[in-house]
Amino acid sequence: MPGIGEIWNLVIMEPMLNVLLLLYSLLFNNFVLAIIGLTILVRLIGLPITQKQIRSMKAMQELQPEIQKLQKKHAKDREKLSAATMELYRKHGVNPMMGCLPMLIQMPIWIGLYQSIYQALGSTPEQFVVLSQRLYHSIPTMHAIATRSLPLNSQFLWLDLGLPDPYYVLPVLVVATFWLQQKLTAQPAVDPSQAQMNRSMQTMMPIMFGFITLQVASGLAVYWIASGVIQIVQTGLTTGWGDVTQVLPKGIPGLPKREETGKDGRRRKKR
Amino acid sequence: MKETTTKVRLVILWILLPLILVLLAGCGGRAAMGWSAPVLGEEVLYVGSKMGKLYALDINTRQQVWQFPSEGQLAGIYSTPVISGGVLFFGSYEIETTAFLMIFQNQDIRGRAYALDVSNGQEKWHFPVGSAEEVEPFLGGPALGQGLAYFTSSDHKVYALDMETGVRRWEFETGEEIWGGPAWHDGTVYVGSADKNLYALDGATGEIEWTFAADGAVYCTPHVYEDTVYFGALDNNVYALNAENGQEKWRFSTGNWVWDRPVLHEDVLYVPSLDHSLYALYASNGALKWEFEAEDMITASPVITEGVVYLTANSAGAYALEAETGSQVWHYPQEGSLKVLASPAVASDLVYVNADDGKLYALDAATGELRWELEPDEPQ
Repeated sequence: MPGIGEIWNLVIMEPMLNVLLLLYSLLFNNFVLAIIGLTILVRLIGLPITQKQIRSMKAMQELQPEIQKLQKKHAKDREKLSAATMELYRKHGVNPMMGCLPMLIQMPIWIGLYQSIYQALGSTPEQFVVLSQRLYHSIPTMHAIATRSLPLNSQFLWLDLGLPDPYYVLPVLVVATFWLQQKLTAQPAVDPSQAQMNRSMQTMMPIMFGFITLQVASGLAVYWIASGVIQIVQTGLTTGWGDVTQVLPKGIPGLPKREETGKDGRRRKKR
Repeated sequence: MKETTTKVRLVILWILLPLILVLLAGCGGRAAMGWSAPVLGEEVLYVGSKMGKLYALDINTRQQVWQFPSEGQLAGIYSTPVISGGVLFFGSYEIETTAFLMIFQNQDIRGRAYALDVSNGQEKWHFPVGSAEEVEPFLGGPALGQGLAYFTSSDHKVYALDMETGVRRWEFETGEEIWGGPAWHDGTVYVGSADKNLYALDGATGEIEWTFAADGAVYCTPHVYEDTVYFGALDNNVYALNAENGQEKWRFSTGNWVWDRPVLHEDVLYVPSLDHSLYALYASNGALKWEFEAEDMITASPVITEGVVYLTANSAGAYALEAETGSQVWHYPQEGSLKVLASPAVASDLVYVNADDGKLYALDAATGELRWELEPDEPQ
């Protein structure tokens, strides 16, 4: 009986790896384009779920003034506040779980994508012989593509996609895209302490991924940036570009000024 | 109370962040890698370890005769050493890591070809000399001929070095990396490249005699016997070419890549494939004599002696087969797994296996029973 690892490879990682090679072959033998192509493809497949997530997040943001009213009303009774908040969500057809559930569902996909990129680069003999076991040799077209394409050209501009970026450009881009993504997808805070935690996480996560980028193959950083940009664009297209521009420090001239959550957890207009 | 809890959480978060970053920085270094087949000299076994050391071990006493380098370690040894005239030649690489604040790390990877005095492990020379020239890792084993040691490098090049001094006589650049070793035969050097070509080069000058374009990248060390050169490729094929002019004599398709060198023995070519099978082919026409399916991919060449084929198969350990029929004589271990990526070495009644767990196993050649095991990197 196959183990979980084998099932994982069979169902998640190997299909992605082979599609990545197919895209590499179709997209001018350019691995950066193949990574971007696969990221877009995976995003398209997960589009219904992520759309629900973004809409749910938007709806929760719109309910924020009413939640604040409830917070005032039940300031001394957390149980009542919780029940009233849930009732409010129910009344407006909002499922707070939709904020994180799609993320959880997508996690295996992201891990598979990550593994397939890492595997395809095969920068050591150990990695390369394992790669041989993940390819669809029995499908003539895929065998022909793998034979023609391998080893993949890992050079792109100044980057060797199998090594970290020597000039630290990608870590900076990863931090920027993660920060923007975090700002856009953050759940509205129910209380001030949660707001404070959210702000800390919004700072920590981009820094964390920025430092991870210093250590890992730059091909993975390309994937993170592509994935982040797609998320930002998708959020913009779904909820309007106003939200995107509002998270920038001074907003965009001609667009409404940003509303942000203050230290007390309340939303306020920025002057 | 609630504010205090939040503050505590924030303090924990901000303490954890630098800790995680420092951990990540620590994990950034490359672990020692490599698989190197053991080589037998006169009562001494030479073996590259997982920790980046080359050891000379007395096979009778199992005591270490010497180790190289005597202090520190190399980054990895994939190259199987070659011994000639009291000198041991092998390729390797070193990694020098420089770091700023433990986080901004820069790794300088430098290939090194070594010649050591086989009696004491003292270095005779290394290539390149000094730090002015940097080359990529030497992964394949060297070939010797015409007073030259031929090394291949991941920087796409073949280097011909004077065996006595290590001085470069010539170099030849292919279109892609070279991970397999070269083969020398009758004044010609044969080498495969990931650019999908097999090159035949004049051993004295490095000029191209002919090239043969395979369908896939060639990571395999060629095997030359009399007028035929045999090699495998990532197109799943093993090829037999006329050594004089590169004309194809025949090809045989396996189910996956042919990673390591096919071996000819008594008119039969033994071909290891990553499809888990060892193929015995008639050398004259490439017809299949028998096929043996191991439990895992075969990444290394077999060794054939006295009618028995000894092979290793990734996580499936080692096998002995009857050379005539391909029937299994024994398998080690009979239960569990043992990861072995390198070829075994066989001497009279023992089979030596350099496993990925860092141990050297000595198996009874007749029965496959474990006679002894030792960990070369462990202090004696």
